[in-house]
Amino acid sequence: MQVRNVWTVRAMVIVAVLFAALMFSPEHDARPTGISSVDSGCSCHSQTPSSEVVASITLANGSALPENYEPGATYALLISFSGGPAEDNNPERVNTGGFNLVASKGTLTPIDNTTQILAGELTHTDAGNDQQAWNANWTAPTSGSAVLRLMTNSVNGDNSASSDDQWNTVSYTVSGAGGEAPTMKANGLTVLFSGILLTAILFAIALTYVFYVRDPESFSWARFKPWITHWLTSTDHKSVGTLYFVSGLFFLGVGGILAMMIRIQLSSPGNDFLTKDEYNSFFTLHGTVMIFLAAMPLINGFANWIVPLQIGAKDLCFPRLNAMSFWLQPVGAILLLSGMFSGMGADVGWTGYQPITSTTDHYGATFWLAGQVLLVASSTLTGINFIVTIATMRAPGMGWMQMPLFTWSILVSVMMLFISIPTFGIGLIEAYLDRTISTTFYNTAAGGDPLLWSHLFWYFGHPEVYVVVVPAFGVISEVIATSARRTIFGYRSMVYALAGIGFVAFIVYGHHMLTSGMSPLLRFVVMLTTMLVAVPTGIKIFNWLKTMHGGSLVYRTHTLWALGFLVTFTLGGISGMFFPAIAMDVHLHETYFVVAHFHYVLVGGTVFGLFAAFYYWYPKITGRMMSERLGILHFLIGFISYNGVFWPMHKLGLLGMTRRHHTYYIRADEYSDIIGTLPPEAAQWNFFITVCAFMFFLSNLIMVYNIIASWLNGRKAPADPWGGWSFEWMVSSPPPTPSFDEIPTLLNANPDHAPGRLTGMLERIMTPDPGDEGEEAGH
Amino acid sequence: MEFGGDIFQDLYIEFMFWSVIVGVITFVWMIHHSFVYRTSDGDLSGKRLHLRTQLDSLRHEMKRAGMDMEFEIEEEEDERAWPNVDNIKVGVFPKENDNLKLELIWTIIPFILICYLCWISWAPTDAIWPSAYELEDAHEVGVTGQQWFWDFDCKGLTSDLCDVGVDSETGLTVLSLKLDETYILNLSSRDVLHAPKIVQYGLTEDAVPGMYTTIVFTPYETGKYFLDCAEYCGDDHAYMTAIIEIHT
Repeated sequence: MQVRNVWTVRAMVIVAVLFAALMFSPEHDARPTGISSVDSGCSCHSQTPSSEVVASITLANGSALPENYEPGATYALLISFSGGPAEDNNPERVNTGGFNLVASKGTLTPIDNTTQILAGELTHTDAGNDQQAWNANWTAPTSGSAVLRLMTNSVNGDNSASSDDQWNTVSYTVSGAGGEAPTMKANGLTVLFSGILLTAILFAIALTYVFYVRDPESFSWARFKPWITHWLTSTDHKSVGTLYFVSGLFFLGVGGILAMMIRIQLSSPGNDFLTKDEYNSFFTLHGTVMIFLAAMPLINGFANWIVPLQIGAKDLCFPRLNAMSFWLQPVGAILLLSGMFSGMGADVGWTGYQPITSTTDHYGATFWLAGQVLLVASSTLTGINFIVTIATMRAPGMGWMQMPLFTWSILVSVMMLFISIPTFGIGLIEAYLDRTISTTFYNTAAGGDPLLWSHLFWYFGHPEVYVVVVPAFGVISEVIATSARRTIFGYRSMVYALAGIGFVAFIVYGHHMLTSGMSPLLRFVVMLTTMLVAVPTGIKIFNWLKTMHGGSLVYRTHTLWALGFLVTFTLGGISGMFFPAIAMDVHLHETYFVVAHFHYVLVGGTVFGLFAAFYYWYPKITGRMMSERLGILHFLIGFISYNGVFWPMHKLGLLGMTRRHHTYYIRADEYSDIIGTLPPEAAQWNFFITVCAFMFFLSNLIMVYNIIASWLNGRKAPADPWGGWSFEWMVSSPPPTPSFDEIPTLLNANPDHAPGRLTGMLERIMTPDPGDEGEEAGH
Repeated sequence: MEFGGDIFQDLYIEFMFWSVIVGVITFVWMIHHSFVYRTSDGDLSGKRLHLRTQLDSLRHEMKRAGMDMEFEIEEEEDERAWPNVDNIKVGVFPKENDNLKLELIWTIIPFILICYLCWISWAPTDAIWPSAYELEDAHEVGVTGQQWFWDFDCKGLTSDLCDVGVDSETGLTVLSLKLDETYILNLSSRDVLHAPKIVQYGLTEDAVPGMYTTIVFTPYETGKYFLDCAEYCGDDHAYMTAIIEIHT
């Protein structure tokens, strides 16, 4: 009883503290200028409306507002008032007055700096204080009648609100073209995500039906329960890995569909397939979903499945923690995407630059921030788990320098993640507090700093792109060596290059901010360090090429993807060299050249690496061989259409096509004499890219079909189908649980030599001496 | 004039030259190796795989039936069909395959190339951040971004040097500047990040609320130039355009 009381009191205190925080949090949304639309008109300029002030709205050309509007047309409005103290008692005509205009339908847009939108209503700015007339645009809705309600203040110019000032109000009603009944129009994003959700549910029902038809006798809860309990509660590294695959592939599809919508919108200039709002949400979620919900889970899937097998461990060090890091992901994903179903998804770009993230009126951005906080937690836990597992659970005989390269790449990748992701978490929480309890971390009016976010984000964001590409390096090292039937060339330099990439990742992030207003000295330093990235990656590429020398290269699907990776990653790496030179970056910044570059390294690097990994380890994971014929078809269509998508983007970027624009300007018609708009063939290239993008998207369905079909009907796979050397090929396919009956010992084909000084020291630190465990515990 | 401005073009051509060299070396090397060292008969999915699978299932059946018997087929290594140069075996860390000299070569040569590229992209930064001495005769023009239009402020310059108007054809705001004069565009923003991008001159810099950033701009050819927003700023980001007109 006593204990319970203590908890109650503690909970109450926490609630009270939170409540006080909410009460006293600085209010930064106070209106600096403008008048509000509360019914008393304006709390500061007298109480009742005065008939001396005459407010009016006309069209900018002087004619009266039309009785019926044209759906979707934009009208230039002239907002004005006459009479009152502004004319009688205000000879200098300063501080003459202000207004507030509310449109029940349609959109009001300021066209100069005298007016602004505050909380969805149009009002004047500081600059528009000395006027009696203002201009603004009103875009008519598609249907229904709209009411425009105007309130104006007539001010005597004494620079303080007094009862001498007077105000009045007027409202106009403009009906739709035919006066038709208003129709409901759903947001595209809502439709899309509801469609995806509905498809998933229908798919689940269909699957259940198939089970029922196949074997009605055994279709019972008693048999189904253990199956579902297994998947929900399993802590086995293989089951968790499979869960990662399922969720990763699902979101790869979601991100792909978003990309297709973006491409349809851009297929021709001035397209209206998506609205501006929808387009902004689509590219934001495409980025976030692809990085955090597709690439990272798929990598985690392979890390979960393969790393314990490669180092000869029965499971990960902390299996429960591992299951928890997985289950944080779907929860985070649901939270992150939940803004979608209201049509108010995050519309800030995956980088979430401030202050737009803190100020956008799309409340999906709040969920987007909250969801990413959970993903940060998940990644941190994964990082701890893999670092500890790899450091302490290697089989006897496997020193640091005998670890398979895939395990090395995962170690380097989780190290980078573990060191960088907390800063991102901090930034997200700050932005979240800005949006929810009005803190002012990123509010410039209250002294916040938008560049702080850029630093916090890119300190994480740059290592993050290496986090997703480094595991692909590991996969390619394994695949090329095995396919060529050779040892990897220069194992040691491969390891040092990986570690070098891991180190350099932290000192180059400023190249994302070369035009951000950061100190020129810092920009100059990151120009030098960024170029350094080419050295370790160059070593890796040349080592892979040399590995093939003198080998016997066998062309299987994973070999093809690995060679495809070499081509695209080299191209992506070369185009990356153009950015650090500041004089070039000021032209290339935020153009499609950047888009081309990072898709060449993230799709051509990470995704091709993951495809190679799928074909390479599929027999180990499922115990079935994959269809090579379908695999080669997938590679040919995928590789060609992929290059068709991203290669022309280099050219478009050089011509100055800017990213994140929902449309683009072609040098034609009234733009024909404006230099710097896109030449007419850019529209054709964009159409070509869209066609190729659809081919690339559809070609990946071949792989999904191949995965499912081979799982059901594939040939049985032997333990070592490709002839690799590491431990995962020692156990049967699929591996038993626990993965090893007894821990194997790694033999070494090289002459025995004592470990180097550094290696020896690391070994001593990382491996507890079995002799004096009791003493260790006492410390 | 080509896209991106003269400095961009010079650097771009130089970088392209070295990119092509690196690309050609890598791809020729790759294509050569992947043709010369290919094997036609390395596919394990053929006979040998079949044998092994049968063996596995036989073992499994026998275990089920309770027969505890171990057997192994003697496999002959056929060097021609499947050369195993490094004698790779499962559970054995393979024989090391390295050559310190080669590895040093492709560490040091790219490093030298990178030093060179750094060196050539060093000097052009002077054009982006000129010294105060070079800017003695420069004229200051204010450029302020707001959702979603550009606001130009001539700061008292004569209308010959700087003038703001409206383009009759497109309805966009026009900033008229004089040829061969140096301007400091003083950037700021009233709400979120914006970035004026003068496409043809290859100039971009963020306009950040709460601070001033600058673009140094010396127009060297007459004409109407397109200016758009290169930092995502909300709904009408794509429509946040203006024209810079250069006259003599």
